[in-house]
Parts: sequence; structure tokens; C-alpha cells
Amino acid sequence: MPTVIIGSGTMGSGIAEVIVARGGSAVLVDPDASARERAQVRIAKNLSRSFEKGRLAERAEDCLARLEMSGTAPVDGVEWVIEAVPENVQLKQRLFGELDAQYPETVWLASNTSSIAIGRLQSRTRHPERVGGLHFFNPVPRMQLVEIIRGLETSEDYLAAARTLTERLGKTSVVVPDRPGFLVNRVARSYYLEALRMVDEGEAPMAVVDEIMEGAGFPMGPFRVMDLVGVDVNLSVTQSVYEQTYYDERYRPHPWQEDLVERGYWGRKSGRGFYRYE
Amino acid sequence: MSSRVWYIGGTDQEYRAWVDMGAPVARLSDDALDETRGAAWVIEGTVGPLASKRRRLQRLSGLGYAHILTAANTATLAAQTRWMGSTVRLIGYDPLLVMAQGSVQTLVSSRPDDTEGLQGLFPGRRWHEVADQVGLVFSREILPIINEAAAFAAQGLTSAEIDQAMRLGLNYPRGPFAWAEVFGWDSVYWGLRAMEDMYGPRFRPHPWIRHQIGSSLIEREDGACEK
Repeated sequence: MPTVIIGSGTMGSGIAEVIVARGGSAVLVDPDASARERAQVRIAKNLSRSFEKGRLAERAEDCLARLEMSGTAPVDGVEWVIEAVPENVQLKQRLFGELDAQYPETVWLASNTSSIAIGRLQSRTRHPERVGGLHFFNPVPRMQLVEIIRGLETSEDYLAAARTLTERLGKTSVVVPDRPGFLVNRVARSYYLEALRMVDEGEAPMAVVDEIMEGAGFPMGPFRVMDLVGVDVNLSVTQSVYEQTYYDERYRPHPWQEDLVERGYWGRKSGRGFYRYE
Repeated sequence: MSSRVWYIGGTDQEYRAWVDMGAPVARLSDDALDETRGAAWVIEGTVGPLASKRRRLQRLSGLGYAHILTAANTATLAAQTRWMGSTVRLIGYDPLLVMAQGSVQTLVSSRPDDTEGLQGLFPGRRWHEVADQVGLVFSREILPIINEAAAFAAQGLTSAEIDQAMRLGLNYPRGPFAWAEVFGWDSVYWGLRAMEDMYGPRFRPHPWIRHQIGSSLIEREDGACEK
């Protein structure tokens, strides 16, 4: 049975890539034809590279034969629908209302949201027990973890099915409560926020903070991570956690992030973030 | 002066970490402090209420040391200097970063040649001077991560699940609970308490951590810690 993935951005295409690379079939849905085209090129390139490097036993063409790109989501013969549209609560709520109406109640509906409460998505469905989170990490083909998020009304059957799916994809899963930021993003917030505060207070320059954390074994210091994932993305997750915790000061975003985002200094992708990459 | 470095007042974990850093470090109890009189280097690593640390530093102040390397993640070097008097040469360090075996270590010092002295004593480590603020850099980064993780443990997730998630989700070298085991829960608790005192309630130790070190833990007025 194909897995339907809604949204062909970095996360959606990454999930589709992993599914077809692991022998499954996927339908990647995006109403934007040019976005679909870009996603297909990206997936094909990644699969070819994996095959060349020996990480994939099957040729890219054979994997791609199991990938369908579509402007609309098929309904028949589907077991899972995974949503990976932009992190906008209204957009996701509307989508889950539509998916719930469109698909029989035996179809599992998952959101790949990194910070929006699953309960808010369940609230727009008639069958909230078949709705939960499947939070993949970027880049999906390389990152091993999937957070399975248990919303207020998510059923045990959903959790079991989600575990089976993630195992099939070669991933390790952990079931986490539907708390703002879930587990990983929540626990990691202070890594960024305290670094911003320390530099702002003159404790140490940012390059020194990065060096100290990398010297202790972290693959990247906090500023380098923010530049890699995007200063804008990091700020958006922090804002979401801050708002959903009713403005708990632990998660208060730092004005420095806002300043960089306003100026378009979004990190590596824009050539400048906390560091310059030109 | 003896070339030996004396370690006083801290934890087994920290003592072993200093030994692993390659200097000839020997541990000594408070009863034998006279043996250290006139030593070139003494490391003072008290974990616990600041009153305990203050009391120990005051005892050390008359022993004629050339340098005291003092844990400065829970009290600023300025405060410690006031406790001891300015005749003793104090250099601050972060005990958690030592236990993490960081290749880059932090120090707080008012003299430029202290960096050189430490680099000579602990070859293979680089020492970066940072401002004299509670938490230094590493403790302030790592302890809130552990504190957040404790909230998930309180909700029923296992430490193994949480550690695995942080390692696989973000490539952290260790999960929060594995870090806490490296430092010892006492060090985690008192590090958070000091930062709570300095920076506010965002560092308040989660009750789950308090439970780890003894649910009836009470600080007595004399600074001792009852469990």
C-alpha cells in the first residue's frame, strides 16, 4: 500500500525518499507543479548518490518507479497519510479536517509537525484516535530518530502502527507526549537560548561558545547549529514553544534572533547568519 | 614546593576526571590539609551549598598556596576572592567541563600567565578565559538540558528513551541522563541552584532531580546538607 505524503518540501521529499529507498511505495502530493518537479529532481539525485556510495542496494531508477508525484491525494488503497506542509497551525488544521473527511477511519493520519500540538489538529477531526505525530528529523535519510507523538486522543493502535511503520523505514522511534516542542526540540531549546543570552551578556564570544561545546563532543556549537538549520526556523520553533507554554520565560526568544531574521540573515542558506558564509 | 596538584573537596567523578587530564593530581581529605601547606597548585571543587565552599576556602586561605584552582560554576571568582582575601591567587574553572573532558576548558582569571600555567599543567587541553559569571559556559548550556529532560522522566519516559532520542535526533554525544551520570546528580542540582539564584527561576531544579539526590534534602543554616 502506498504511503501518501502531503507537501513536497525538504521534509516531505525526505520522507518519500526514505520510503522508496526501503522498498515501499509513496505518493508525494503537492498542488504546486514546480515544487513537485524540484522534489523529484532532489530525490532522484539523492538516491543516485546513495547507490553510488553503496548505501543503497537498489538502483535509483528502480526506487523511483515506486514514487508517484501527484497534484491531488489518492484515497483508495492507502494505509498512511503523512502531512508535511509548512508549520502553520491554520493550514494544518484545515488540512486535517479535509483528510479526516476524505479518508476512511482505518487510514492513519500523521503530522510531521515539529512544534504544533497534535491535540490542535485532532480537534478538527471526527476520528481523532487515528491522528498522531510522526516527527522526522532533517535530513530525513540520515537522521535515525522519529518521534511518535501521542495526542490527547491518539489510540494505542495508532502508536503500534506507527512503530511498525518507522521500523519498516529503518528508523528508531520514541513515543513522546504532546507537549510544546515534543521531546527533542523542547529539551534542546536552552542549548540555543542560553548561548544567545551568554554572548549578549559578554560571558564569551560566540565562536568561543561554539568551540567549548564542540570540544566537549557536540558535533556543532549552538550558533553553528542555528546557522545550519536556519535562524528563521530556529526562531519559529522557539516562538511556538514560548507561546504554547503561555510564555514560560525559559523559552523566551532572544531579540538577536529576531534581528537577524528581519535582516534576512537566516544562516547558511542565505549566506549569512551568526557567521558569514560568502 | 611540591609539583603535585592537590584535589580537595569535590566528587570522585571530578577527581578521576582531573587524573585523566594527565596532571599528577592527588586527592586529600580536609583532615590532612596541613600536608598541602605551600603547594604550588590546589584544586578546590566543593559541591553543595555555598556556605560549605566558603568555609572550606577560608580554611585554605592560611596555607600559603601559590595557586588555587577553584570551581567557579556556582560562585563567581569575585565572591570567592572576597571570602578568602586578595592575597591568595584564585583561578576559576568549570568542574562539569572538566568531567566532560572537554578539549577546550574555561578559566576565570585576572592574570594572563594563568592560561599558560594551566596549559603547562594539563597538556592537550586549551584554556579559554571567559567572564566571571555563574555557570561559566558549559554548565550553563548542559544543566538546563538535563533539567528539561527530567520533566520528561517525571512524565514516565525512561532515561534510556530520552537519551537515545537526544543522541539520534540531534547527534548529541551523550543523552542528558548519561551527562548527569558523568557529573553526579549532586553537581547537577547545585549547579542549577546557583544559576537559579543568579539568573532566576528558569534554572529551578525540577523536583525529579531533587528526588534523585534525596527527597527530604534540606539546607541547614550552617550550610550543611541533610538528606
